Amino acid sequence: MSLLKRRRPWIARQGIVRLGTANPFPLKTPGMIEWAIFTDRLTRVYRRPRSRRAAVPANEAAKELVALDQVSLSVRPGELFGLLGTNGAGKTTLIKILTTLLAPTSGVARVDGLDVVSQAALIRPRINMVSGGESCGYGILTVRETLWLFSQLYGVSHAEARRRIDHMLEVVSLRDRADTKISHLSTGLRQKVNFCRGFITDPKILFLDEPTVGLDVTAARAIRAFIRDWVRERPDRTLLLTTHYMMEADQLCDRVAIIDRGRVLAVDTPAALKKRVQRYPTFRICLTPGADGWQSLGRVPGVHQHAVTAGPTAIDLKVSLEAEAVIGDVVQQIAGSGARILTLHKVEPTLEDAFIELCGHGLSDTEIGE
Amino acid sequence: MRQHLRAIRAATWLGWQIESNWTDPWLFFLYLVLKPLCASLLLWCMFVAARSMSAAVPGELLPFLYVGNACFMIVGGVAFGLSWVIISDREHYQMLKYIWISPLPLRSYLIGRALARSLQSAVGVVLTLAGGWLLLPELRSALTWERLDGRWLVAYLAVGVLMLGAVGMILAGAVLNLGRHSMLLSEGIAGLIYLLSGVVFPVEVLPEWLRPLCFFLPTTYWLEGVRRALMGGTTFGRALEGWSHGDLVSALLLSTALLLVVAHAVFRWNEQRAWRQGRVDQTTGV
Repeated sequence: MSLLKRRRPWIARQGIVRLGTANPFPLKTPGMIEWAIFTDRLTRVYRRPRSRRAAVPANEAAKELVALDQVSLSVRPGELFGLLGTNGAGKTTLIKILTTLLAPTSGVARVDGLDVVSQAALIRPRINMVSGGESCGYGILTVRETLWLFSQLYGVSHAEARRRIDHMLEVVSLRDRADTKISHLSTGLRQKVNFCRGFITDPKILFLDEPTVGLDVTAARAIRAFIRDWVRERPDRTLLLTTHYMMEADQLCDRVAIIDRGRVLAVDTPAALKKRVQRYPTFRICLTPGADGWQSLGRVPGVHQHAVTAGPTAIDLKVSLEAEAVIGDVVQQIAGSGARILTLHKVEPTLEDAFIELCGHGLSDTEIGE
Repeated sequence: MRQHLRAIRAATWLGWQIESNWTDPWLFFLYLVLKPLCASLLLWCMFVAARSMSAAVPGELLPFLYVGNACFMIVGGVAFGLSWVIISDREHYQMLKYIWISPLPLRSYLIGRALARSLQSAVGVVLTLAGGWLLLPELRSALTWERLDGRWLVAYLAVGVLMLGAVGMILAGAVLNLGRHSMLLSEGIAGLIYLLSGVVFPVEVLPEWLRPLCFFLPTTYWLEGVRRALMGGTTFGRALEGWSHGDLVSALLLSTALLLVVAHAVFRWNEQRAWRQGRVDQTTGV
C-alpha cells in the first residue's frame, strides 16, 4: 500500500490498490454510456535506468520518460477506433495498459467498464491482443497446435476451437499450412498466425497493434476486410487498432486519435480530421501548353491562392478558393482567355496531411525511444 | 474450475512439446538417457579415482552419490526449470505477454509447465537408475525389490513435487523482474542446494557452521527420504541417522508448507512489481 501510495498517489487515494480488490467507485451511473474503452488523464512514466541515461543527449537524459501524458479517450462499443502516431508516441504503452500488461502511473483506464488496476482478472477473458511484426508462437508447435493451445487457455471447447481454427485459417489462406511448424513459416505467414490467435478466442474487445506489418498487399487487404466484417458482425465487438499506415486507418476506422509524444492531439472521424486541414477548397486544373489564361486568375473574386507549374506537355494549375462555388468563375476566366482545360479535379486532403498539420511532422520524421 | 484444469493441461502439453518435440523421437530418447547417465557415470569415475587413491573411501558412497545425483535431476528440472520457462517464454518465444493477458493466471500456467518438467525429469531419473543398475554392481546390490519401500517413495515424491514447485515459483518470480542474465541466479542457487542438501556427500562432511543451513533446506529431508525409500532404511549419511520415515516426512511437510506460503507471497509480490515496472514483455538479450 505504501509503495503504491508513493508511486501512484492518485490511484492510492481512490482506493484502487491491488489486483483482485473491489473497486469502491461505481463504474456507471444511470443514464451514462458504458464505454468499451475509457481513459481519464491516464499517465505512464517510465524510469530510465542510470545506464541508459548516459547513452542519450544531455537534454533528454532525464530520470523519467513520460510515455503517456494525461490521455483521455472514450471508445464506444461496436466502434473501430484507430490510434495514429510515430514510433514511441505512446500507442503501444496505451495498449499495454488497456490489456492489463502494464500498470498506469496515474489516471483511470477502464475496459468494458472494468478497471484495469483492480479488475484485471475480469477484463482478461473479454479481450485479446495482436502485436504485429514479432514472434507469433512456440516455433516447435504447428500452426493448428498453436491456435488450439491459445483456445484452451481461454476455455474454448474442442469442437468450437476446431471450427474457429478452420475458419480463421481459411480467412488468411493458411489452411494448407495448418500442420507446418511455426519455425518453418516466413515472417508474413507468422504474422497471419498471430492475427488468427487474436481472433480465435472471440474477444469482445480486441487490440491490434500494427496488425498488417510484414504482410503482402493481398494478405493485408484480406485482413482489413475481415477486420471490418468482424466488427460489424456483432454490435458489441470493439476494436482498437494502432497503425503506421494512414490509408489503413482511413479505410477502417470509425474514429481516429492522433497521438504524439504521449499526448492525444485530436480525436475525430478520418473525414473530420481531413476537413480540419483544408480551410480552402483546392482544385487542380491541367491546361494545354502555352495557354496564358491563368495569369489573371488572382483578380477573380474568391480566389485565395494559385500556383502554376509549367511543363512541356501541360500547365498544372493549383487553385485554392474561399468558397467551392468560385470554381465556376475560375473556369469561365480560363475558358474566356482561350486556354483549353484538359483535366479538372478537386484535391482532397489525406489523413497524412491532417497528421502533419497536427503534429508538425510526418510519421517517419520522429523516433522517440520508449 | 474445469476450464482452469483444461488450461493447466494445455500448459502441461505445451511444456512436454517444448521439452520433447525438438528432434526425432529416437534422438530425444538418446538425449534423455545419455545426458543424465553420462553425468552420473562421471561421478562413478570420480568415485573410482578417489577409491584408488585412498582405501578410506567406503564402498557405500557410490550408491549414495549415484542415487542422490539422479534424484537431483528432478530438483533441477522443476525448481530451476521454471526460471527458464519465464526466460524462454518472454525473451525467446515472446509469448509471455499473451499468457499474461489470458484468463489463466500465470501461476497456473507455470504449474502446468512444472508438471511437464516433473514428468520429463522423472523419466530421466528412472532411466539413469536403470542404467546405473545395469552397469554398476554396487548399485545392483543397493537397489533391490526387497529394499524398495513403494508407499514412502510415493509420499516423498508427492510432497517433493509440491516443495520443488514452490522453490520454482520463488525463482520464477525473481526472474520475472530480472533480465536473461538472471539464469545465473538460478544456476547459483542450484549449486548451493546441490552442495548443502547432501547430494553427493553426507552433510556431516561440511563445516559445522554450514550444517544448520542444510537442515533448513527441505531438499535435504527429501533426498534422504527418497534414498531410504529406494535403498532400504539405512543410508551412508549419519546426520539424519536417528530419523524415521515419519520424522523425515513431517520435517518435509512442515518446511514445504512454510515454503508454499513464502512462494505465494514472493510470487505475488514479483508479479505486481513486474506489472508496475513493465517487465512482463521485456526482452533483454540478443
